[in-house]
Amino acid sequence: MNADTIASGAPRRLATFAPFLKWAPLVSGRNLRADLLAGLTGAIVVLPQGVAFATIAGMPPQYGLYASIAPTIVAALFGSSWHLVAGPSTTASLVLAASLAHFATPGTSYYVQLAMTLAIMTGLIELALGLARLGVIVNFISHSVVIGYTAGVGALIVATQASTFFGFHMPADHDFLPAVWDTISNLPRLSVPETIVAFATLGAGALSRRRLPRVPYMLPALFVGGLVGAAINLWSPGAVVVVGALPAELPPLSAPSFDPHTWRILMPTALAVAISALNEVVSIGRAIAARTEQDVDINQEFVGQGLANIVAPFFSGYVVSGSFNRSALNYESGARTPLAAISAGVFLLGLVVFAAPLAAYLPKSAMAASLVMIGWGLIDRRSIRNIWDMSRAERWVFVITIFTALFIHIQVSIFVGVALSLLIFLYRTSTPELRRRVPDPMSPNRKFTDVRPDLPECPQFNLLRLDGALYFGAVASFRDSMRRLEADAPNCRQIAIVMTGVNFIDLAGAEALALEARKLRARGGGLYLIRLKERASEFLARGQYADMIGRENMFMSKTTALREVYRHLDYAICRDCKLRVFVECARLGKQEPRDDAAEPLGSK
Amino acid sequence: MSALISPQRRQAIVETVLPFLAWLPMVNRRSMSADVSAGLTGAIVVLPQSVAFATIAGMPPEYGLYAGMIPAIVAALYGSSWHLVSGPTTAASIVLFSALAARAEPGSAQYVALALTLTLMVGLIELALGVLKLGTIVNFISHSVVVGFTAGAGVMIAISQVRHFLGIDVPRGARFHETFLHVAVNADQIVPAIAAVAIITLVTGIAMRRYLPRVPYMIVAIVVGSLAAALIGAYSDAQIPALGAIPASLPALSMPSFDPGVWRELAPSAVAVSMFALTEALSIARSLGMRSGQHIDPSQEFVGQGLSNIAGSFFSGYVATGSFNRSGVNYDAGAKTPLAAVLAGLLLMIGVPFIAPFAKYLPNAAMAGILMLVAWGLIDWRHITQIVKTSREETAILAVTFFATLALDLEVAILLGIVLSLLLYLNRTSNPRLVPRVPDPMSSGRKFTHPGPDLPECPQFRIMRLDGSLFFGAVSSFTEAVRDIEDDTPDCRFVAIVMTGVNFVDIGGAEAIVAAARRFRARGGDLYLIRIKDQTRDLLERGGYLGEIGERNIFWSKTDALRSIYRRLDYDVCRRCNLRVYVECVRLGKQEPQDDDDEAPRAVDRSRR
Repeated sequence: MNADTIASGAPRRLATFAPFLKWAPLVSGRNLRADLLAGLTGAIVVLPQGVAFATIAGMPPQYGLYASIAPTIVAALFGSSWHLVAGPSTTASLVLAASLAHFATPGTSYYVQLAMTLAIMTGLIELALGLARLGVIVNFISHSVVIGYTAGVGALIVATQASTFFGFHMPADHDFLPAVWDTISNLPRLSVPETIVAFATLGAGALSRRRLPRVPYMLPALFVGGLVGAAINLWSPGAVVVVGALPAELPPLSAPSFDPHTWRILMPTALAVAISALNEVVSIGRAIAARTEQDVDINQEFVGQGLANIVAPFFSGYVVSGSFNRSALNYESGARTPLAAISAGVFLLGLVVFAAPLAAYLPKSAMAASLVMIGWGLIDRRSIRNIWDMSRAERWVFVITIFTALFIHIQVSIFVGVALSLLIFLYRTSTPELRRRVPDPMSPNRKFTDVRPDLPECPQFNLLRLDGALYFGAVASFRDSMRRLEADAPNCRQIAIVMTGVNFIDLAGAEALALEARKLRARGGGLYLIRLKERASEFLARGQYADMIGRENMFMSKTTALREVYRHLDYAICRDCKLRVFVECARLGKQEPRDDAAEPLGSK
Repeated sequence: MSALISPQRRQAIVETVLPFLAWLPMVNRRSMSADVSAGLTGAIVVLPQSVAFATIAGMPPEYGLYAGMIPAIVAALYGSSWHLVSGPTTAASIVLFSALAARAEPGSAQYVALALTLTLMVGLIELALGVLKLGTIVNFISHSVVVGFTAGAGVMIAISQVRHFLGIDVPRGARFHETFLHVAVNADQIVPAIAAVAIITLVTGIAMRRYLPRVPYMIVAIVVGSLAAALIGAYSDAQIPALGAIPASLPALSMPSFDPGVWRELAPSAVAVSMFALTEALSIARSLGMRSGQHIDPSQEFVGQGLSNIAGSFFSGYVATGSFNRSGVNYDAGAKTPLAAVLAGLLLMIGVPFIAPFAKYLPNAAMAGILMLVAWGLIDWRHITQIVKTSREETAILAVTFFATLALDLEVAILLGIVLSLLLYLNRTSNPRLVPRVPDPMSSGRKFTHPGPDLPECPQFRIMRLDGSLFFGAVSSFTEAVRDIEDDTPDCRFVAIVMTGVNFVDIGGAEAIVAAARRFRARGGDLYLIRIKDQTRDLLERGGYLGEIGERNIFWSKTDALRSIYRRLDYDVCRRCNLRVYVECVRLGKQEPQDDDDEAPRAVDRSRR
């Protein structure tokens, strides 16, 4: 952020459009070899993933591979992270399918064209956000929303793949409830050979994950699934349906639609895909940066993703986003620079030609089984448990987000979650607690603690702590708290507020403070502010509110404040009071407080 | 049936359905006489106002009077405040006009029907907000929005009255600049007689306000204006249009429309009107409650406002809300209970049949003169200057709201203002500052302060204070700030964060702290948290984050933290360091930091000071 503000216009623009100049010098001998090796690994891994994710998206399988070539290269060239690998991803694919299925039949050429149009729209949105440096908006997607949303995506994937898993061979559902219902009602008609292949795949995947954590489990799982499927097909040909050989060719050139009507109907989806893709990119970027010490410039990453999605539809790709597991794999296999991701794209070009015929041996149910594993993996059970334990607010956000994702629509769920979490946040900050505090006699240095039945407050002097900024939204609650206090302790006319938790005060807050001060003064008491933060006190001074409250009533510590306030207490009450709330009370009981200063007691 | 309901529950139900039972016991002979005199004053004040405000709203004048009758009585009975007087108001009237003028000809029967429907919708929204106890949402309409909006409304009212003030036929619904242009081009069409009456009224009003502030200036100004018009009319042949006779009848029963199409069309306006009406009513009730010592229950006030508008829509009243000046008059006239407002409404009902025929002599120009004065009063110069002087952000909100009222629809303007102030607030809270702190050697208690050229920071251990809650929106700013620490001072491996300003932490924030702690640990250092608030600590504990941060790394005071941390500092660096940032540094320079057992009593001593 700092570098941005210092850098003048021209170099920054150059950095935006040619970010690869930054790492190009690093490409040499050893780095180059490491990158090429990581690239090869990446290309092999993306083969099954690309096909699988295209299946989720309702696209013909080869499009998943195409999406991993040109867009991946562009994103690596123009992005900020050195390890992030872009390409087809689960969430983007699922949102695409859930939205486009309403407009076209999956797999048809119209559907493909819509998908490509969606890609360029998403790309333009991402590019605009990146150039306008609006990356911050992603910050407002809270943790609970992300967990709820991805869990919703995971559950939807599992539910929609179930029919292929059990070999029902029926048109896929794209909504959660119908998918679950169809699966349950069709269970008696399951195809035994396909279910065997699916479970073999699952078993192999689970085993590989446990025994060989370093190998991407999809490869051995699909290998075993393919072997079992081939064996069954040898025995009774046609029992297990396969994906079928893919066209062994390079991505054909293509073009999205520029029909304004199409753009209008796709707009909400494009927005949702862009936001969720960006969220993915940001979390991957952060996760990797946490290990590599590289500063990921979110906005630059948006530019890279945007350009990748703009390029995608011209090379038969569909919406791409950062892939969490491929990026992690890329880093773990030793990638040094984005050259690794670029070479993965180039290697894939060559691999497609050799690997495409292999799809003829790939059973559809094995593919579904691997997707079920992926979907299950998206449900982050540890984080969900955490959310559950943490607080009611987070629980609600999570529940509403996942509910919307599953039962209303996946693409609105992220917005509903964000709106809800913002509302909860606003509600929370608009009702800051005004806690009544008393010294804790048990603590050696007399820390303050909340009022308890065994720790009474001084009848004349209340010490409060305000936990929250005093801004326009919180003023009403602050005033209500003060009124409640007034009703509760009508004789207490001296009130001090500890302001350490008040990070800022706005105009309405300053007025409220001035008003309370005036009110207390009219009753013969006073309002004291303890430990105001610099920014808050500067603000008060600027608006002359400091004078209205009284500069002499602002203290840097509780001790100095207490010393001043004693002089204003009613000695007659103190003498008969047995509570001894403050240390100073002991002394007060013995002698006239007047001795403390020459001036007479407060107003009484 | 009643046996099934516990006494407390029955009590609560009675309190909700008949809230006036709460203050009825307060009514005695003394309060009664005070209330009667306040009610009489109120009825006299509302008479000219309601006619004037109906003019603003584009309603036939009698509807203003009607709005001051039944709705005012219902609001007084069911509201929470003892002094709030409801009825027609300037701001609600101009919003109504701006919302409906495009849909029907002002003054026409269709316009009135739309206004009644809008009133019913506003009432229902208000009632719903009250019943659902959603009174808090009004709190998000910031002061600057209200000030900007009312100032805009004032200008709008002034513009709408130019035609009556000068006698020029300005096209209805003309915007700010269009009106000016029209007047400038057609200056020769100004009718001197009309302008004279208007100016005489205006000057009388200003003079009354200045020299006899206790007398209701409106009535005097209107009487003077009417007399002037009669005189000018008698001695010249100038035509001075008058308001026309008001039917000398009590409010007729009326029926709002229940056409779903109309409702859908009016929904945005209804939302905006109710938001503003509630803000107005609540802020007046609160400021009077402040003076009278009464505690205002916002939800009950909303219920009262809602019922009053629902009733109004069936008794020919248009949108009513709390009136600032009438409530102030009511309080100043010594009203003790809501009975004063009820009496004002009743007296108005009794008085109207006698007064109404006089409206025949009331010139439009005099009314326009009064409204110019009202419009001027809506521009709150004192607060505007204060806002401009104090804060750039609030000034921006004020300016945007003000110009939006002039350029866009009023209801859009208020929503725009709310959204803008929330965005600015979110922007602020999502960028909490992480401020470096060092002990101030000049302070006796070793308070911490900002580092400066003469107050360097320790090269190995920095203390930062986090000024803001760690919620999801603030996480990335926090993470970036932590990263900046690493970049700025790569040798500093130990960082303590003072958490007094962190009022709460959510999961995202908790994970960010854990991530930061891990990063520091990975670099051979550590992250410490000082003075976490109890709630925050509970939350971290419940989420299992406390273990990951390390219980040992959480301290109750800076002193405790320092004592524990400086043992882990690199002794070699300390020995060569001349900065002596902390008091402990003096000792560190002399001996190995490990054996500090004799340190304990001194530290306790210091904190007890």
